[in-house]
Amino acid sequence: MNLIPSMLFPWFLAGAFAIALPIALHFLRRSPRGRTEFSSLMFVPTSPPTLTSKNRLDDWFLLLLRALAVLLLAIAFARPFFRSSDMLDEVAASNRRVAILVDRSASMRRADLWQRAAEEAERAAIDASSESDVAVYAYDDSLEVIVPFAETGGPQAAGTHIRGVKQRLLDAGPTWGATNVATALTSVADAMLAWQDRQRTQTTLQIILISDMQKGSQQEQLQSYEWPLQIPVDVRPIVPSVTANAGIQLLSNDDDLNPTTEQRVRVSNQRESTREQFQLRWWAGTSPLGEPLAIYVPPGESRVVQLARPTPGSAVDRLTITGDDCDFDNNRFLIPSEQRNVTVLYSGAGSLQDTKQMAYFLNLAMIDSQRRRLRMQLQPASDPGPLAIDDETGLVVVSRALSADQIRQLHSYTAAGGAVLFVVPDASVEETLGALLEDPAIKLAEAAGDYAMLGQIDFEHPLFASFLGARYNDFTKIRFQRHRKILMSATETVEIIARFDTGVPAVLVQRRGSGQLVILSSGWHPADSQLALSSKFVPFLEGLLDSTSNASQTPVNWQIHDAVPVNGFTVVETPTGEEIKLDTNATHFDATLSPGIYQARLSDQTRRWSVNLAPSESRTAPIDRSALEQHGVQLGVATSQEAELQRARQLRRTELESNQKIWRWAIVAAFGLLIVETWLASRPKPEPSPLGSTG
Amino acid sequence: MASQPTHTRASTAPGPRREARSFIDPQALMRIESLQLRAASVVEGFLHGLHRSPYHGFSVEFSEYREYLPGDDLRFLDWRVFARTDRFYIKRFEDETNLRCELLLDTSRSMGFGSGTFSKLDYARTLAATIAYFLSLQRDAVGLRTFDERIVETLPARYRPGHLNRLLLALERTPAGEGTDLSLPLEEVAATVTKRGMIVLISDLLAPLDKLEKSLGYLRSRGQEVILLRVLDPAEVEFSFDSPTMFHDVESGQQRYVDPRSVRDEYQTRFQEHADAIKRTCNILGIDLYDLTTDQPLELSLFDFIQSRQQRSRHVARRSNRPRRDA
Repeated sequence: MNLIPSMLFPWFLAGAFAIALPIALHFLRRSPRGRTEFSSLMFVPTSPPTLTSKNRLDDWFLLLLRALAVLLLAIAFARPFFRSSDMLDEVAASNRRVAILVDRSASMRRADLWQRAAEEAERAAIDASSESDVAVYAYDDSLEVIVPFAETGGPQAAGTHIRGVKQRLLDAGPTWGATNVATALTSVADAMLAWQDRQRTQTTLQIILISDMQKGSQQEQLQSYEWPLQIPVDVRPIVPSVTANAGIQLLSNDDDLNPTTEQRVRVSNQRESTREQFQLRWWAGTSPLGEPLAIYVPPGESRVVQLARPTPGSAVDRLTITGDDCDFDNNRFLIPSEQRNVTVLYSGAGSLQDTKQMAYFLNLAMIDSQRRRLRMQLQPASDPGPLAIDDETGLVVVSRALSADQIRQLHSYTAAGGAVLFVVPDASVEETLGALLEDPAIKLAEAAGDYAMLGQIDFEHPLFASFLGARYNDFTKIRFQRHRKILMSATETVEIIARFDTGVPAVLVQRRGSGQLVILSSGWHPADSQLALSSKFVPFLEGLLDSTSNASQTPVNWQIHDAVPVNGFTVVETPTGEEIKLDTNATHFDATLSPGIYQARLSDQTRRWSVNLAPSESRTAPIDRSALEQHGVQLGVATSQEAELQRARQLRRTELESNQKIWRWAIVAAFGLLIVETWLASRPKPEPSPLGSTG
Repeated sequence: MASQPTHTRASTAPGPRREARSFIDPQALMRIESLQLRAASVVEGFLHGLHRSPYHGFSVEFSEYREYLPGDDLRFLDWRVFARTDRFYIKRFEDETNLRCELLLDTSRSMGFGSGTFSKLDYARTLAATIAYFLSLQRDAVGLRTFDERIVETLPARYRPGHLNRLLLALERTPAGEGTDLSLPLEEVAATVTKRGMIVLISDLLAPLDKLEKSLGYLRSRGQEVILLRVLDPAEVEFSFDSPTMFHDVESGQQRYVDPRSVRDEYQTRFQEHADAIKRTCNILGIDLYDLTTDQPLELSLFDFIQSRQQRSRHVARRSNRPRRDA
């Protein structure tokens, strides 16, 4: 094998120049240092600065030994080793992956940010593609793949796989969504880690983040994620040329039940803003309402102003702010909230004054809210006529035996989205219950024994969802003195969402059409249980009311990408006028892609809701990249392939050198030389001549 | 170079012992601010170990008795002792003189040189003060003349109360002068000092010698006793510099690059030649020359001074062969 001498740290050889230093100093002319006062120069001869006897080299052999020792020390520090010519070629480059994340949130709509982001993405992709597999993602509050990885596990020929990145990004365009950089980064990082786990060779990972790095990027969520140190993030901020931006946020009033004639609006101005004067104005469609309100907000501050609401009846749909440079977030759409009349029909024993019956307690539970004015309608148990169900009926509570017509009426009511609560008063209503559940084999029996408590409760079910928290889910204080055993043959259509501790079903739900039938095997009046007296009763009723289309309190103001419940509606009209047909069993509409007023229709019914930008998107002040670092993200650029190979070769060299350890022998030899030198130098020398030894 | 002072005449007379170990270190001495205090320190320390003058004469101050030997002057026989003891004793008295001493102090710039913490001039001043103090104790008249190229200050020789203070004051305010020219001041002194006495010349004699012999000759010809105290810095004697540097002549302002290692030998040769020339001149003129280096205790110079006086006295005594009594 052909061995080549090599050095681990060849620059230490420069230490060999130390040999020359004392010799050079020795030969240097002694220049006068300073001035000496002397009494008289009459005896002092002039002395030209010549070489004195001291400048002559006497002991050549000693000098040679010392020089050799210094040279050996320098060689030892340079860590010499021998290698064969092919030893360093064994190292191989690792598989590399670069993910480019482009921020496409609404704030990228400002000026030419999106254009510049697309250009930067293409540049980064071309740069990286020479040695890496590149993918391009766009993110707002969700992540979309623009160009996937080529899955070749290595570099692609530039211009094939990532061709047209810029155009693809420009075509996709920025969305109206909020920025969630944390979700985007963690999703991509997890995907890359998963890929790395599948690889058997060494891999190098890199994320390039192209974003306007706005303050409302929700980067705080990164705190809960342990960032993998092997994925450095190269942040390339796209800084806008104009920075003046103000955002508005509609605030709810403290007292929702008594809406005042003023709307509270928070106006926040960005820290870097150059504007301070803004105007607020209501709009109905394309026509402005009333006079604009001028407000003054210094940069970096926010103010809450009371804005007079437009007169009732005016078709106001948005609030607009003007005066800043960026208009993407200048509109706030809103649907004025209105209280609806909802009737709860109770058909059963007792009167509103009878404190021992359920009707009394049900009437007490009629509590109004901002969107709902509740009223109870009592239909006596003796009334054989049809149930008094009308458009305003939000819930039907029945606690008696029903006729076949009435049962049919209830069936059609639930099919249309209504909710029926059937409270089993005693075992005599077996037939009615069977007909309601369409299970003729059903049997009812009065449960014997001591009181019972609710044992198993399905808190996932919407009826009990409001009790999910640990503070609210204690039902042990409610004792049921009497309850009925319900024995069913077929349980497929019925969901048991609560059982007594004896195992007997307590609450059963049967979904019928878009509505539901809820069976309660015990009443809430004192003879049966303490349910009406507990704090759980009202929330339970509210949950029932919310599940119906008639009485639900579905909010009317939403944000981009929210899924809006659209139970029963068939068509949704977007702000752009486009009509989207819904599936028959669709419960939610999630194509809320742009801000504005949406309208859902079902024959003669309509529902409108507004969709707005997330308020965080208005916080456009740029943050420093170190903000990401504070949340644990490893910033930096992965080593290039060349540097990586270089490092691998250096590692190989180090390994070879540490196996051979030639430097030890060099040190030993240097010490040997020094010992010889010391011995030689300590030998007695012939006395120098008196003239030559002065000084 | 020898650190002991040299003097031109071999002395065989028993004198005070010259052992430097109990003397005051010049460095410590020079730290004393007052010149009078310095002089007093030296003289009193010196007197502790000093025997009184071994030369006896007919003086007011009784010295000792000695048995009569044939040939002794009968005038000195103590008849009272003879009456008491029936033995002949000769009564001896201290030889008492009344001396006029002129101190000539060289204040040229070269005297301002000092390799240690004090200059040659400091040393010379203290030396002059010490001699003046010592002589005043003996009730001798002391005068002072300072000179560089000419006489700067003149204080005639007197013995009277307050004179010593004036003299010390004059010494203290003596400024460093210009270059050295011995001939002119010496001629001036020779012309003005008419009474016979002693002249103590304190100088480094770092000047060309051509006129020195003539000027000193003037003084001697006037019958003055001349003592030459040559004050030198050890660095001037040994030229003990190490590194090559630019040397600056304080008198002439000349500058010269000098590598001390290479010129030391030649310097010492030239210096020795100059010293030998001075020695020769002094020998010819009968002048006592003492080389003093500033690292020697001042008491030693006082010894030299007194030794020189003793030799003179012995010389005179030998010539007259009888105790002199100058009233």
